[in-house]
Amino acid sequence: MSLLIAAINSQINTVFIMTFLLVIVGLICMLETHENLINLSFKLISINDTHQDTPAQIQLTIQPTIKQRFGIECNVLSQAASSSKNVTIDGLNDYCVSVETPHRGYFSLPRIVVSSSFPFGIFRAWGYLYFQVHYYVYPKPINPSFWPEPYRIQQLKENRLSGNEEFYELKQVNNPWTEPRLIHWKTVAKGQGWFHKTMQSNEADFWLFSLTDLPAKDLESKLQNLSYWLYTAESQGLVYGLETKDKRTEFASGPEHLILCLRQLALYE
Amino acid sequence: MMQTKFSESFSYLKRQCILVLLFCFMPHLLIQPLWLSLLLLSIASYQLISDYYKFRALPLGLVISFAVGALLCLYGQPLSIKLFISGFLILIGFKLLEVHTLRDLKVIIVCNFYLIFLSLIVFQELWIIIYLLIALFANLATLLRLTTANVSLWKISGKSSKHLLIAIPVSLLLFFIFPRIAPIWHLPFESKGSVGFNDTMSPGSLIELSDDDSIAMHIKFNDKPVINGYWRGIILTYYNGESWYYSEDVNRSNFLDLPNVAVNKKADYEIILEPTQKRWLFYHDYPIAGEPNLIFSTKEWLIRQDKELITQRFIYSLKVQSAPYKVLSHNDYTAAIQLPNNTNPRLSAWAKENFAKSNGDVKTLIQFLKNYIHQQPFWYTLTPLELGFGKNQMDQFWFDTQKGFCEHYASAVAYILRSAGIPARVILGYYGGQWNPISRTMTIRQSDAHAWLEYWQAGIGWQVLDPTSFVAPDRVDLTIKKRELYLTVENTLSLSQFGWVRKVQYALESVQYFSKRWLLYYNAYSQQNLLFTAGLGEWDTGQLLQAALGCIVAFFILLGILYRWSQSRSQDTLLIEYHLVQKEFQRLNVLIHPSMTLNQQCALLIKMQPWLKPLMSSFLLQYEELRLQHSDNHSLENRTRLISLLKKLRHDLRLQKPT
Repeated sequence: MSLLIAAINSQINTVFIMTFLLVIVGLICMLETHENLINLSFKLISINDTHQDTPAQIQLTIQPTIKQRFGIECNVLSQAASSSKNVTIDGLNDYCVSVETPHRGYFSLPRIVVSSSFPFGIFRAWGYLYFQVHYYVYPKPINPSFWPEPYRIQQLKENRLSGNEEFYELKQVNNPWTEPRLIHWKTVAKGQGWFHKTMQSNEADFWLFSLTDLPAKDLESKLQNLSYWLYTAESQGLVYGLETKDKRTEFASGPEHLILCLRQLALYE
Repeated sequence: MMQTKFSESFSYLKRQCILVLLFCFMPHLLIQPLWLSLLLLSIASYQLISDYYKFRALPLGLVISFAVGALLCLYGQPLSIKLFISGFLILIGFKLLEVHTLRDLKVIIVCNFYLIFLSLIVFQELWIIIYLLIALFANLATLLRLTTANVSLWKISGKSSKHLLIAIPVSLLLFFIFPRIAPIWHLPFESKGSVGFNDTMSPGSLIELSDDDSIAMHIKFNDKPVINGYWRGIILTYYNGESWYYSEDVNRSNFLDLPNVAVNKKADYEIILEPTQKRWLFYHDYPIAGEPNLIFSTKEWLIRQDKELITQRFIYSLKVQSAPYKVLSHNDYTAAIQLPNNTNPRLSAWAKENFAKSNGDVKTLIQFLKNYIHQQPFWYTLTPLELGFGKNQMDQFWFDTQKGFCEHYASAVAYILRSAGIPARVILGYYGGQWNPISRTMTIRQSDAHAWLEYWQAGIGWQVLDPTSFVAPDRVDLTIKKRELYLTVENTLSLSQFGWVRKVQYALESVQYFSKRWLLYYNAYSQQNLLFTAGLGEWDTGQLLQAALGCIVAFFILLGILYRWSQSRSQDTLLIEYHLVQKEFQRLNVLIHPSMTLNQQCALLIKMQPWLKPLMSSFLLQYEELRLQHSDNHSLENRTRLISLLKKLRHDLRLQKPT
């Protein structure tokens, strides 16, 4: 507009030409921006669970029906857009959109905004993607600075592992009262000294992580500490379970079990 | 790693922006002070080098001090467009020093567009259009680069060129039909240009006539061309013994408005006059109508209606006829025979004696003068001897030096005629010019500036007399002779008589003229003429504005349709059919959410219209079988069957009524 006023005022023909050239380029640009965004097909590949403050990654494939596209951006809600990408006619298979996760819980994937300012950044066209998928946000793992006591062996044996545990050796200890439940009373009775019973394998070390193991502080911190223990136990190949309120998982290990426990934490109310 | 990659990409964009800015700045190098150009070039160079070697940014305080210092250098300069440009350039220069983000680069590009605009204001030559196109292309390509990373330069250039190539024809159409509205306020444009002579004529004071070959005006003839014509500029009636001058006051003189040339009646000729810094306009014969608004004084001055100086290129058209005979008024007669007392006694006596010998017959005296100048050793030279100051300059010229150019001869002969009691006056203007038979234009240069005289003959009126033409050819300065001979021969030949080199030259000159005429000098009058020639009649401003807006809207719609058409050609037919089915769902009041699967939509419909359950279940069964159970579910046959299935469902649903 300022150029048009200047053209009228200066009555210089070349300024008129420049003004009209820019107007027409602007109009073409408006349509091109729109054209750049339509007839694109999006497929959701995956969205993985994550823990608090670590963005959830949405994997998308983008496939244009015709010709290459430029400067395609995706973002969720008012979060920062992912880097703009060009999409060739063969498609883009590894487009990743991040979703910020400030809170734990179970969430539906929010509306994804697809936008483009191509070609000149003057206009912006956008559209929405809706996917009916959900994802979990686990509590952020924070080290509580101590490790919980293993779960009571006797109780374990009675409850679920009876018959599975075989002792193969006794270990002499100076202070047997650190683990009174492991004292081998027969040798004590015989006056042969203090011995602890040693389990047949590592599977004998069981941990039941419970909210009650943690000192009194706010719930979220406790959940974050539990999350830490779960990750650590899994990384060390321990057998563990989780107890929250009235829910208790099985003792087990492995990624699936970890996810089960973490999801329980994510949903804890 | 990511950060490094972004930084490299940003540096590349920054360098591109700076180089484009320097290109846009180039025309200003010709007019801006040297220190300012050097300042901007240094800043740009500093940015390029510091970016490469990763120097630290200059301290902000230093930058501000430089900016204030530079602005102070401009303080006190006259208010003009040049001053505005200088200030703007300083600001751009210092903006360059703080380019850190993509947004800053965008600001630089916006500044580039204004730099181009300012170049257009300052330079109104044909080359500026080439500059405009290249500069726009470069800036669009840079903008494109900002929004699309990792795309080849070739592709970027292709895209930018495509935009410009589509835009050029439509822009030209808009350019021709957009109304030329009167300026809203006056801009202090830089004054330029000059004319090959002054307001007064003092033949004795000049010892060398400049040989300026720049163009003074182009004349386009609509009908019969005037070859070797006299183009009147100013009439000098008064003589004080040393100089010829005029005494008319522009503000007091009696001017008559020239009627406008009717659009359906073509003007006889159109003149594109370069800036002269004078008021008067040039004409041949007697103007009876003009365009744009012109006024013509009873003293035969032609000027603009606003009486402004010609500081910018000015285009006007005239319809002319032979000068009507009008009896010379007493005042005019007195002025036309006025001579200062006690000047040139020898020439005065000589004139009276020879007029007496001619029996008081004006024509006989003129013929005598012609023969006299031709036979006597009068020389036509651009480097005459100085006549010195005094009241006998014409005596000295006529009887002693006998060497001079047009002003000497016009002045001397006018003096002779007045001494003999014949009213005479000196005319300053242009004579001749170079005729281009292809464009039918006459190009007149400053070196064609000429002085001649007119004498009064009762019953006939003012008659043109050019005493310079009486000088024998062998006593004409060689350079003048060559040029006159060349022009005389050139102007009399028809196109077919020229060699191909000359023809090509004429053709190129014609292209240049028409490009200038229709791009640089296009005005409201040309617009009306164009519309009339196209058979559209006369259009007022409102109609032109509507037409221009209509063009923009029509272009936008047309382009939209083209885009739509090109997209629809490639649209998936299966998807089209699916959307049509969805429309049927919507007609039956099924609220469809974008993320709903077909299964969910069908379930909703069944919930609303339970009697459709068998139909929908059957459809879903077949659909899933085709879509999911076939190993080759993208085959053409499979797709065709799917489309048929969707069509059938749509047909069945169309028979249903919404609940």
